[in-house]
Amino acid sequence: MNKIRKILLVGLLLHMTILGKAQDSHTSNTSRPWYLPDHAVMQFAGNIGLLSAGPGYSYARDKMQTDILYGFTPGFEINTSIHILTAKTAYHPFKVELKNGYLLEPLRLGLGISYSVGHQFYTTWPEHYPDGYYWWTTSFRLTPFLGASISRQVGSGNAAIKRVQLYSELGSHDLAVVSFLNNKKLPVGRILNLALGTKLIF
Amino acid sequence: MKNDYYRKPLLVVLMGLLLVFNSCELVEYSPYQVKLKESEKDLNRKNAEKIAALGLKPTDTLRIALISDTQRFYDETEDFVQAINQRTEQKGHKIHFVLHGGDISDFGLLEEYRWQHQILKKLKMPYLVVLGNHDCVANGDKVYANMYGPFEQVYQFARNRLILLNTNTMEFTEDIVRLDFLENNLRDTENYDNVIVLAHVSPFDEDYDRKKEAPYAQLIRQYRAYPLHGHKHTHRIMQPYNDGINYMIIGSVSNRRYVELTIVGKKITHEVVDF
Repeated sequence: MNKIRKILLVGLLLHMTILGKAQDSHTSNTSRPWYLPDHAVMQFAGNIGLLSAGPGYSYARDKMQTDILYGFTPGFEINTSIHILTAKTAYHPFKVELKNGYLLEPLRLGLGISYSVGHQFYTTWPEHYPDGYYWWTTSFRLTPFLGASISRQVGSGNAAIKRVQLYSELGSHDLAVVSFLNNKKLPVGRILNLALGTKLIF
Repeated sequence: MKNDYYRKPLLVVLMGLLLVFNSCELVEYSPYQVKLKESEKDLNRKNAEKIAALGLKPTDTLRIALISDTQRFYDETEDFVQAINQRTEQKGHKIHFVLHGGDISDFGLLEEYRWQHQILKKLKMPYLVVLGNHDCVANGDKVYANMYGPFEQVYQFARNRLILLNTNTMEFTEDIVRLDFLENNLRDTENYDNVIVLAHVSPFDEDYDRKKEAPYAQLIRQYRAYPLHGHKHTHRIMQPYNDGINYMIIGSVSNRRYVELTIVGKKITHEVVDF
């Protein structure tokens, strides 16, 4: 259990240090103050809510992006909906400039760390459980993903929105990966899920 | 504009893709979502109806396979299904249904419940599942309620009664070992010859509420019930109360072992089968 907490802490710190660096390598628009986001994101599915949205930052010559999202999942069969906060970092190593202002980023590789809010989700288990009774936490989940994105220039100069991006991701989450690794007969397709998102790039 | 030409078809394609993603379980809103298909709901009741439809008579031999604690053991569960499907084909060896002693999931996730059901629905006979402690984690109890029904259930097949009881006392703040439910369904002894009580955590387990141990054992003794439990992964049969009542720990499917109960009249015998 302590091990898991350490991993989560490292993940969180990693996100924070990356965010910290965003301040001085603000390549997409250097004239704006560091705290203003470089883009706004809206995502459909991907284990971080039916819909999630929030601001994001771009850095490391626009090869890295970190998004801070709030996601919402309706209760469906139950009365309680699920609220999820996510920090998500993606690495885009390649850029392919296409005609008419289109830009393709064929690889998008990243990891999210999400926190589900609610009394049924635990970061530390209640005291009545013996130590290590359940080894994982239910509030934090790690969500690795792999995808691609395409964007198009829609404005330049002083325009508020300069590009519009569409991305898709094939993702999973830590507990599903653990289940997959323990079994030979669980098809990989079962643990994967698809997400679609759009970014307004400022 | 040239691009407008593409816009409408693109939208249609996107909508279509969304529909496809939705239908083939490629879309996950949250690992904790509780969103089931109609075919995944209320499975214990639906399966009990299938058992009832067999029209078992009191003179018939009843065979039940017992498994438990299949959480995250997909390979072994898959092999169990294959083994039992072969066994039931043997002449004069029909297995009428399978009882699962709980912990069908490890993390209480809908996906896990779903993966297990996708394996267990290949059984040639119906199956019933009792709630385990792992099944309650996070939104797991709500998944169970939607997928398998209430935490306490009672069925009767010919002269054989079956009571499913929630004994996962660690997972609930409320008083959950419903001894009143148990007693109410044991009292009418004239209506049954055998009564099986299936509950995940055994009364002598350290994870069971001590206050509920003696009264539970008392009811089992008084009505000569046949108690079946999971939770501990090693198959065992013991008499913890020296009262002539054998308590069975079914054992985890991870040991590649299941138990076969044979009921003839008022006599219940069991056999441990390795696969």
